[in-house]
Amino acid sequence: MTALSPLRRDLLLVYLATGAVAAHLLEATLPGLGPWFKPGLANIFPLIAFIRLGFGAALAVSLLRVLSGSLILGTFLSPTFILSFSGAMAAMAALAAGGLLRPHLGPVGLSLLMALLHMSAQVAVAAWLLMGHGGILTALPWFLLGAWVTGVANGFIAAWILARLERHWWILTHWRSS
Amino acid sequence: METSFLLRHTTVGDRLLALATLAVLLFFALRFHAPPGGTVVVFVDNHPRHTLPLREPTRQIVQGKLGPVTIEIHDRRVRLREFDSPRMIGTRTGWIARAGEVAACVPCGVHLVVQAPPGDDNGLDAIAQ
Repeated sequence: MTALSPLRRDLLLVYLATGAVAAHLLEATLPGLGPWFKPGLANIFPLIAFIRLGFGAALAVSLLRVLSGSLILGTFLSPTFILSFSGAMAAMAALAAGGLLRPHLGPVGLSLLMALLHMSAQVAVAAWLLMGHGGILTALPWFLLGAWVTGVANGFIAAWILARLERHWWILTHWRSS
Repeated sequence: METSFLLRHTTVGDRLLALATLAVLLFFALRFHAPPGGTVVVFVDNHPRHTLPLREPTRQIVQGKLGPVTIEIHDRRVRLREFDSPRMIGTRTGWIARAGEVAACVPCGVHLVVQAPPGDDNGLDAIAQ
C-alpha cells in the first residue's frame, strides 16, 4: 500500500482523533445499558490508527481522546478521568502486545484484547486506587463478558471501516487540490 | 449478518482468541457464586462509616463529594442512590444482596460492600481478598 505524505498522515490522524473524541462524548451522553457497561466505540479509532499508521499514532489518538473528552465534559483530573485514562492506557498496552501477533490477529482479535484490558484496568484502578479494597473484583468476570461482546462488535466495525479506507486509499495518496 | 462477512473479517487467531476468552470468562462467571449477605458496610472516602444489617429495612443518607447519597435496605437487599453523579453508576447498579457485591459511586466517594453473616464465608476468592 502506498505510503501517505506526512501532511496527509497527520490529517488522517486528526480525523481519527476527532472521531474518537466524538465517540467519547456520544458514549458519555448515551443512556447506560448497565453499570460499568459502555459500548467502547472510542476504541475503534486508535485501533484503525494502529493498523494504518502505527502504534505512535494510536497512542496519540487515544491520549487526545481522553484529554479532549475530559476537558469538554469537565471531568479532567477527576476520578472519572483517572478511570478513563487508565482504561485507555491499558488498551494501548493490549494493542502493543497484540501487535506482536500480527498478522495472526486481525482487527477483531486486537479489539477484543483492547476491550478486556480496558475493563480490567478500570476495575483494578477503581478497586485499589479509588475504593481501597478488591470487593468489586467478584463481579469482574461479568464485566469482562460485557467487554467481550463490545470488543468483538467494535472489531467488526473497525474491520468494516478499514476495508472502506483501503478501497479509497488511492484518493488519500494521489488526490491533488487544484 | 452474513457468515461470510464474519469469516472474511476475522483471522484464525481472532476466532481462537474469541472462543478461548469466552470459555474462560464463562467458567469464572458461573463458577463463583457468593452466599447471601448479612451486613452492608458503607464507605465514605474509603473509610468505613456505617455497618448496617440487611435484615432491617433502613434508609440512610450520607454526604458524598457531589451531594447526599441515599442508602436503602429492603428485603435483605441494599442499593445506593446518588443525588448527582456524571454517570450514575451506583444508582444503575441497582439492588445488591450477595457477599462481596459492591455498589459504588466513585465520583461521590461513596461505596457499599455487602458482607457475609458472621462465621460464614465472605464469598471473595483468594485473588479478590
